[in-house]
Amino acid sequence: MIIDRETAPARLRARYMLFGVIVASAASSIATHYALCDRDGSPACGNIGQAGSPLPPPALPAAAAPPVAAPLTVTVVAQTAPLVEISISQQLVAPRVNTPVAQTAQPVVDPLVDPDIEPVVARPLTDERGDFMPGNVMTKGGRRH
Amino acid sequence: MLAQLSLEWMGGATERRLRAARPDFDDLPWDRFDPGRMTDADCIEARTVWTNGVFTEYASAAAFSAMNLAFMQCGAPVDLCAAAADFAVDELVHVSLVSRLVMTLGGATPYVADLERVAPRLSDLPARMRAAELAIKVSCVGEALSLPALTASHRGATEPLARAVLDRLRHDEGPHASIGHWFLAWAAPWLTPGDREYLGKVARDAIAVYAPLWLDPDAAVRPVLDHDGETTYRAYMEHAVEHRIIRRLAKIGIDARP
Repeated sequence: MIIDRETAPARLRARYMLFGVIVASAASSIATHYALCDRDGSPACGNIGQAGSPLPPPALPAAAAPPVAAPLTVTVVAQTAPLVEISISQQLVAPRVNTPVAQTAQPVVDPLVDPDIEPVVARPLTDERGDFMPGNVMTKGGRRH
Repeated sequence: MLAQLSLEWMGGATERRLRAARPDFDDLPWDRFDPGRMTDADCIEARTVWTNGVFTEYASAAAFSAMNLAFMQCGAPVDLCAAAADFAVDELVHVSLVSRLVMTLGGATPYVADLERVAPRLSDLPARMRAAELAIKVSCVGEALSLPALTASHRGATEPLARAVLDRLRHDEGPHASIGHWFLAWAAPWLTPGDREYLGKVARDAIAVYAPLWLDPDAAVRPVLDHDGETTYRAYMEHAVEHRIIRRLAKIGIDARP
């Protein structure tokens, strides 16, 4: 079986502690420090040689209770009308006159305002929450190009 | 959840990718550290300060990641977004170097942090102002103070390994302190007087978080080396605040004076 090095399971790698308290050291007798924080509790990340704060960061303000979801209502609809056939026609977006703009001084055709051109508007793929799905999975043309 | 800070290294493919992106990043004199040259008290102090250093570098990586996202959410130039993402990797390299230094010194000292809160909390403002807020807080203030502090530490350090780590860290901090200004230069056309006033307050608040470090009575007498000779830590950092933060922001109409 061939295991790609990039996709090998993490457990096969030599994971180890990069940083931490060494149990055998005398660290237990040293005072505990905390991050220096601003009023919001965000760490002040400038590394200016400080030892940290002897006090813990301020507590976060209590989070607002999540809104109670309205009870779901199940509605059953009987569809009696005949199905409607939908056809979609697309038209390539292109200037009507195939002449260099600089020579003719014609304005550039804007497909979003020109009534003679039906714009093909692309929108990002989203999930059910409306978050963008960033996977670049569109066809790049394949064998046809 | 608050817990003792500890970090892991995976190795393998992820380590190879990092080494390809940052060749020789850990090519430092690790075998030249001599613990016998430090007293126990000095060693514990060094471990305490550098333990905090691991966290600040880790938090900086999170801050630049948040900055990258905020830049993208407001349509900032692609190369500017890439710089923010790249700086997050710089900071993770710093995490690995400082971690290794701490472990060489004898291990971390007790340090409790909540990693769920490691990224800056963002306001409810529109995306462009969220990005500007992060640019000010993380770069124009935080990184602008890190650079002189690391430089002073480097001048005063005698331990070869600590000097090498400090040298590597401060090498990256210059661009990190500039990216906030790069963003603000791009944002200048749409920043209103009200926006600039708000960003001035963001800068003042961020400075105020660090100020106790140099307003401490000990800081008034603790010597540091600047390029002209010896001064006090307080005077050195107050000079840095005036010249590296307040005057630079004033040039773009942001008043950060206390």
